[in-house]
Amino acid sequence: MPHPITIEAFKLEGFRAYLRPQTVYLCRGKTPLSLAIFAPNAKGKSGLVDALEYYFSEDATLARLGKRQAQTHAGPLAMEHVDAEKSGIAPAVHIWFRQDNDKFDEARLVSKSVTTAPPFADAATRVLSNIKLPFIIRGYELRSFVEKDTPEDRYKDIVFWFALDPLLTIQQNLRALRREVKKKAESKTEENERLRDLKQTTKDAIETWDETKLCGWFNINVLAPLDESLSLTSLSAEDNQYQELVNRKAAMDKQLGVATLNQFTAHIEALFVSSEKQEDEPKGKIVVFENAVAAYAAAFTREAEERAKASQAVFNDVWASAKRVFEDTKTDFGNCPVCDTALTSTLHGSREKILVGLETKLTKLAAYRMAEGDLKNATKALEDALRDLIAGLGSVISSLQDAGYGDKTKWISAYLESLKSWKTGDSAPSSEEAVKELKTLFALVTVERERIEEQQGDHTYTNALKVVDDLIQIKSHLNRIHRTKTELQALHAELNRQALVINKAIVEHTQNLIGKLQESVDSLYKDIQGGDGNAPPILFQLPGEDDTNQQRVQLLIDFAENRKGVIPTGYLSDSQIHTLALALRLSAIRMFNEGVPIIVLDDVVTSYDADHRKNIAAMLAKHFDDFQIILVSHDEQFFNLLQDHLSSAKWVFRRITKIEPKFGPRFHDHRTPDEVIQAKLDADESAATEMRQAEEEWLLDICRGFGVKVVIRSVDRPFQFERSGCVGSDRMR
Amino acid sequence: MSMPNDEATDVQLTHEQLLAKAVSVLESDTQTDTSLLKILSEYIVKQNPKSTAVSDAVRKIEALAQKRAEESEDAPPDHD
Repeated sequence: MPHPITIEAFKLEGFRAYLRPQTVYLCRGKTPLSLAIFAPNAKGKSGLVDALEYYFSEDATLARLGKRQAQTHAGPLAMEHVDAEKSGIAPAVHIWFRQDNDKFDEARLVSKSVTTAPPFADAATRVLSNIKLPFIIRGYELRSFVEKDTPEDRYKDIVFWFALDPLLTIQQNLRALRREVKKKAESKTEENERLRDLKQTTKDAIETWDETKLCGWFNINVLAPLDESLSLTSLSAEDNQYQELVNRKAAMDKQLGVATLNQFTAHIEALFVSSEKQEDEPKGKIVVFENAVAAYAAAFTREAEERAKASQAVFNDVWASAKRVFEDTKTDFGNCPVCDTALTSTLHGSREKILVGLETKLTKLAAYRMAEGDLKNATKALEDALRDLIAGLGSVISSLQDAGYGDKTKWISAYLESLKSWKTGDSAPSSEEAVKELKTLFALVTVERERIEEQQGDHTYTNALKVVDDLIQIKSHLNRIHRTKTELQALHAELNRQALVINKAIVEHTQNLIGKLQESVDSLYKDIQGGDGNAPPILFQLPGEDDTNQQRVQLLIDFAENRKGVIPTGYLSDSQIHTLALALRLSAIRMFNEGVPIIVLDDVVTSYDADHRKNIAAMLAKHFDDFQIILVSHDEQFFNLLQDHLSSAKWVFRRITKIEPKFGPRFHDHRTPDEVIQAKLDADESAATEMRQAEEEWLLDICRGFGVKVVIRSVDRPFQFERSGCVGSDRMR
Repeated sequence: MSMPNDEATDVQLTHEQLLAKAVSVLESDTQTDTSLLKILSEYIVKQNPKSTAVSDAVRKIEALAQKRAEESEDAPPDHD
C-alpha cells in the first residue's frame, strides 16, 4: 500500500474573490493538518473550496458554474478575479502535496477561454490516479438530494457521487435508443406514402391494401374493356394471366410498330443519354469513347515525360548492380568500382551522394515503367471503345432505316465514317452534330410512339401492364415495409432484453457498492442522528419491462418491515435524508480514496440543529481522525464546536474576518509584513494604510488571545461609531 | 469503525470490466441477437460514447432490420 498523499499548502491568486496571493498552510513539519475555516456569508470561504475543485477539474470549471458561459451558467470565465488583468496578476491555483518524503507541487493557471481549458496539472493527475471518487462534499449537493422530487433524481445524485456517471450515460443512451427504435417500429410514414400511391393508381377507388379487392377492381376496370376473358387472381408476375398480358402487349407493340420504335430508342440510348438533371454526366458509347481518347492522350504525354526522364533506361541493370555495391558498407573503397574514378572526383563527390543519385535514377525508371503500363491499358480501352461505338452507330443506322427514318442519318453516318478513318493519337472527331441528330430522332420516335399509343385509347395492354406493374411494385414495397417493421419490432424486443441485462448489471453494481457501505453508513448515521436507529437500507429498483418511463432507476428505502421499498420522502425527515446522503458520501470516500485521505466539506451543516452539529463535530473526531479534512462553514457555533471537539494538534482553525476588494478575503491572523511597510517607505510612498492595518491586526490578535469576540465595524458608514457594535465580550473563556 | 474492504468483490470493478462482464453474459446466451449486441457494444455500451451515439445506433439497427427484411423479399417485376 503506497503512502497516502496529503496537501501541505495551497495558494490562490487572482482566483474568485482572492485577488492578491494568499497561501493556506496545512502541515506542521511532515504532519498534515486539517483545516476549519469560519466566515460569514460572501466573505470568500467557498473560494477556497472552489480552488480545490478547479484544480482537479478536467474542464477547468466548477460543477455549479458549468462548462461554458451562457445565460444559465457563468462558466470558466467566473474563475478569474475581475481585477486580475488590470492588476497585472496571472490568476492561478497552486497546490503543494506530500507523499511520505516525496513533495510535489504545481500551479494551474486560470484562463478566460471558454473553448480551451488550461492544461491539467501533472500533480493533479498524480493525485487523481490514486482516488476513485470526488472528495469535495458541498452542502448544496446534500440539500439538493434532500429536496429532490423524484427517486430517479436521487439515484442520479448517488451515481455522480460514486463516480458512476459514465454508467448513467450508458443507461440514458440505452433508454433513448429503446425509445427511438420503438418509434421507428411503430412509424406509419412510409406505409402511408405507398398507400397514397395505391389510391392514385386505382383512381381513388382503393385506399388500403386488399389484394382480392384490387384484383377485382383491376379485372373490371382495366382488363374487361380489353378482353372479358382475362382475369387476374393475384398481383404477381408469376400469375398465368399476367404472363398472358405481357405476351399480348408484345404482340400489340409488334403489330403497331411500337416494338421497332422501342428497339430504336434503346439503340440511341446505348449511344448517348443526357439526363434532365444538370448534375448528371451524359452517358453512352460516344461519351465512353471521348473519355477514352482523353485518357489515352494523358497517358501518352505522361509516358513521353517519364521516358525522357529515364532516357538512359538502358543502364537500369548497371545502376541496380552499382547500387548494391555502394550499399555494401562493409566494403571500403576510394575509387568507384564501376569506372575506377576517385570518388571525390566523380560528379557527386562522395560515396553517399552517389548512392542517392543511383536511387533517384532507379526511381525514375520505376515511374517510367508505370507510365508505360498505363499507356498500354489506355490504348486497349480506347480500341475497345472505338469498336463498340462503330458497332453501335451501325445498329442505329440500320434500325433507323427499318423504322423509315433512313433519310435522317446524314450526321450520324458522317460521324461513323470519320471514326472508321480515325487513327489513334488523333483528336476525337466532333460528335456534336451527330448527337444533335440522335436527340432529334429520339424525340421524333418518342412522339410517334406516343401518338400510336394515344390512338389506342386508355384501354391498351401497355397501360394495363403498367397498372399491374405499379400495383405489384406497391405490393412489394408494402411487403418490404411490413417485413422491416416486423424485424424492427423483433429487434426492439431483443434490445429491451439486452438493455435490461446491462441495466441490471449497472444497478446491481451500484447496489453492491451501497451494500458494502451499509455498516459504515449505519455507524455514521447513528452518530450524527443520535439514538440507536440504523440508517434505512437503500435499494435501487428497475421498474417492469412495460414501464412507459423506459426503466428509470429509482432510489428507495426499506423503512420498516411493513414499509419496504418506499420513497424516502414521507418516511424520513429532511435531516435524516441529509444525514443518509452525508454518511453515504463519507463512507464511500473512505472506502475508495485510501491513497488520498482528504475530504473537503463546504457548509454541510445548514440543515441541522445545534445537537446535530455537535454530533457532526464529534463524528469527525471519532471516525476521520486519520483524514486530512478541509472544512468551511458560515456557522460560527459549529466552528466553535469543532474547536471544542477536535485536537489542536491536528487541526488549524481560522476565521475570515472581512473581504477587501483590492486584496481579497482577510484571515483573522493575517499579518501585514514589516517588509511591505518598509518597501513603501523606501519608495517614498505613504505607508499609513499598511501601518494602520498592522496595528489593527496586532490589536485583534491580543483581543482574541483573551477570548474576546471581536466584531469588525462595517465600513460603509464609518462616521457612525457605536462602541457596543465594535467589541463584544460574549465569549469570555 | 470497521470498514468493508474486500478487494475481490464486484464493487472494485472498473467501468470497462463491468460493461465487458455484462456483454459477455449476453454473448454466452444462445438467445442473444449478436448483431444487435455488436451495435450496442460499438455505440452505446462503452466509455465516452459519441454525442451522436444514439442516432448512429438507430441507423445501424434500421439498416439491420432492412437487410433482414430484404433477404426474404421477392424481386420486383422487370420487363420491357
